[in-house]
Amino acid sequence: MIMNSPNFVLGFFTGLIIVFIVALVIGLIIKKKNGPAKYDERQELIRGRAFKAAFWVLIAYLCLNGLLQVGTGLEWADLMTSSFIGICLSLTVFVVICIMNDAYFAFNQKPKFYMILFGFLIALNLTVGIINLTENDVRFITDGKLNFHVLSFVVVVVFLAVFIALAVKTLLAKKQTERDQL
Amino acid sequence: MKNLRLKSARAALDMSQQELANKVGVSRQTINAIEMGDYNPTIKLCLAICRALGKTLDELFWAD
Repeated sequence: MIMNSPNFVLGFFTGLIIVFIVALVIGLIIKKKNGPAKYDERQELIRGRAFKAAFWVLIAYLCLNGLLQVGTGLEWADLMTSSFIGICLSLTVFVVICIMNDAYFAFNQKPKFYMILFGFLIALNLTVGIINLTENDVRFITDGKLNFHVLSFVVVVVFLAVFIALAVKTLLAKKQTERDQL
Repeated sequence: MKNLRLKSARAALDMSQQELANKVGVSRQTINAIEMGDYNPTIKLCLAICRALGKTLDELFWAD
């Protein structure tokens, strides 16, 4: 199978390392420009609650997935794909809870940059997914199971959910600011 | 319960939520949440707000 080939493993880990390095560089640039992220006490509290919710969502997902496989023998996705979807699900829960409660960005951070970054990541993953689907004739299902090719679209869904939450919150915050300012 | 005393003390100094937030080192949304009664601040933050507005704890946070 393609997933077990040395080329796939090498490519996969090279990709992961590149993503990690790019994220690290962007993080360091932002930290140098704005200083370390500062969350106030209310934000820390909300982030703690969001971590808890994300943790329980991940536990519930793993239990359901495990029960489904053991109980019915139904394997709807390969191990890497189902694990990645679980991680994405819990991360989305954490980020959306934080965004909706104004606890995702530290008070010295600007959401605009992140909206542009998320928009870019949506476009990038959507392009990769569509190219794979149309030009490389990739299939999302192998032996009746979802495979890792679907992950670009999973990432698109995650960032889209985050992007929408950010856009809604920004609009609501704008209206509230107008109402509350003196 | 809304904290109208905080809101009026801030307004009396012609200070916006953002200005007060900058002064005490929290986000504007946190000041808003305190004024709306959605968040119960710690004593540390209450003191910082009192100092910024020149008021006592009793004047701003003591429930009648």
